[in-house]
Amino acid sequence: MSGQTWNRPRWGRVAWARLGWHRPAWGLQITVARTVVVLAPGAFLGIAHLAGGRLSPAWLLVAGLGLACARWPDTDVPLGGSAVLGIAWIVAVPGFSWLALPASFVGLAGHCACAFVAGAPDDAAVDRTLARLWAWRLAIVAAVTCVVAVLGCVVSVASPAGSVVFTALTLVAIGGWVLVQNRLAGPGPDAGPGGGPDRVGRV
Amino acid sequence: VSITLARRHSTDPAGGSERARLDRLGPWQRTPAASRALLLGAAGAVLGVLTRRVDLLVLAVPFVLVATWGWLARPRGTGSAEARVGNRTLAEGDATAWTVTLQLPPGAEETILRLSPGRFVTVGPDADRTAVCAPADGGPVTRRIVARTTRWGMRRIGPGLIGARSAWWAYRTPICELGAFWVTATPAAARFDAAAMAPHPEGLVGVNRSVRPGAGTEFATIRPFQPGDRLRRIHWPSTLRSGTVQARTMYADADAHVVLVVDALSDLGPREGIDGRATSLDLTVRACAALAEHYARSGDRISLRVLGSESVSRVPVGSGRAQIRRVLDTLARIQPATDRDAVHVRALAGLGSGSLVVVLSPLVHPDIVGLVAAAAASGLTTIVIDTLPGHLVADPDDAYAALAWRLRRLDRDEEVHRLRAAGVPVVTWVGPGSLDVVLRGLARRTHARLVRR
Repeated sequence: MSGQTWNRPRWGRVAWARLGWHRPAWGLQITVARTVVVLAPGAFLGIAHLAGGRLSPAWLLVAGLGLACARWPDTDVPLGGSAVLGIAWIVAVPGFSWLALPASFVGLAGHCACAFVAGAPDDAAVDRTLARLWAWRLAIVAAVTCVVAVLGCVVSVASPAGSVVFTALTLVAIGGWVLVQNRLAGPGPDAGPGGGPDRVGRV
Repeated sequence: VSITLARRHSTDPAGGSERARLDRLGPWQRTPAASRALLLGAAGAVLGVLTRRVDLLVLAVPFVLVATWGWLARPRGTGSAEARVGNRTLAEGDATAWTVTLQLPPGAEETILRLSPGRFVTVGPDADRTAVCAPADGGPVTRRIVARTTRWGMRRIGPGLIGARSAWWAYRTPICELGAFWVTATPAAARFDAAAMAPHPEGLVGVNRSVRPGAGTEFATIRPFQPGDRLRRIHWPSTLRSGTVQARTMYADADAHVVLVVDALSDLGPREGIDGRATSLDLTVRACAALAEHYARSGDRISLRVLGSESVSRVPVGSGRAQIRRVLDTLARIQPATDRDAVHVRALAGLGSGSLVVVLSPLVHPDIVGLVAAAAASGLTTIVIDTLPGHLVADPDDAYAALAWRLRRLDRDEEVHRLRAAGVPVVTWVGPGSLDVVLRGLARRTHARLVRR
């Protein structure tokens, strides 16, 4: 059933509707997710400006990328938009700022909202259980990001030797890999009912 | 995409099975979101390390985590799905449940089900039309979505759309169709009751009072006792007064043969279902269902003849609950104006003289008027129930249509007048008591003929 889509095309009478923005059947959750997708680039640029970024007014046009991402969420358009925003950050923001944390949260929220919108029907209604699970995951990722930010600051201030940093990163990576293999990875396709935990990737 | 769709039911409205099964829900495909997270995370981390910028590393960390987590928690194996519908035969306006059970492999955490409304099928409430849910403890996911038929006929519920996604929306299955079921929506019988009996019942059992004496329950007269009379029929007060033995006589109880003739040559009016205005055929089939239920429950024999529908033509005579079900199923299969052949008087061939012919028609097609006149002329007791909806004639939105209907109604009134002059009663369907007056009148006319003889 390749090519099947959740949402039947509706041919409106005006160009606005033909662009796909006329969706009277949008549910609340899809509306919120699309709003996040639309506003995320603007919020990211705003944070970059607050972080000391010297953005010319031309960069304001990049804020319009949110519209394109929300219109074509299941394509490479969001990837291009995110890359443009990353370049804007590199070009504009001179150095480290703690505002990189909220900027990364905005990027994460935009990515997740875009991914959710990409495969869900217009009137999707997510179970509360699933919504709570996603909220927990986002919280964990945000916490890890905060930890990485703190460690990054500490490392940059201490300026240890490159070999020390490389060794520490390698140990952390191996430890994380082992932890993930034990806690998150599920059984193989041939595993029986008692072959291992049947919930994969749950927190 | 190699998807095996093993449907054990056919799409033929006449056929169908109870379940539809999708043996393989998959294969799993990587989503653009997963690729995006991987590329952004990797690029950001490499740039951050190379340029020694912690802020870039911080920006890249969420994407690295999402990409890694999504890959580690990827689904392993394929799933299966099975759909079924609760009730294959229901009255219009009733609801049934479209139930799907999904068995998902480990790693599949989000299933999306959607059942779209169809022609005269509503799905709802709206919040339940699309469900995004997670399997509980790795077990099967069962989800019920209620579908309601809003008009009689063969209605299609489904197919539903099914899809699944993994953690962080990293992998997903193609959207698959599953479980299109044909259900029979029988007409909702209008309210009907008749106090008057059928004019001349000729059967052996039933509740109608026959004109001949017999072992019934309704009192006829008192006459001198004759050999063969039962002793319990002796009327002792009259016997004491007259000095001779007197006995009560009863009318026999008999059943009538009611022939329901449905005019499906046209369906006039907007089709708005049971919640809106009724078309002429809506009124016809609902009235027919009500008459069938009433007379079948009264012990009479009923038969059905449909004019103008290619798929169905007639239901042979029968009685009881099975006959009601047969008539309702036949009414649900009517496709109006699919048989364009001229209605011939042979449509009513084979009926006995004691049959009560009830023609339900909007009396718009000229052949129907001729058929009714011919039936009456052949000696059949014929009643016409007018099922032309009132809102058709009095449409305030379209003056030209109203004028056209007014002209058509002048012709129609003339035809109805000629039918009445020929002795055929034409009554408007008003539900309970619609036929009482004409049935009593027909019974009196029958008695008068008997008296003359």
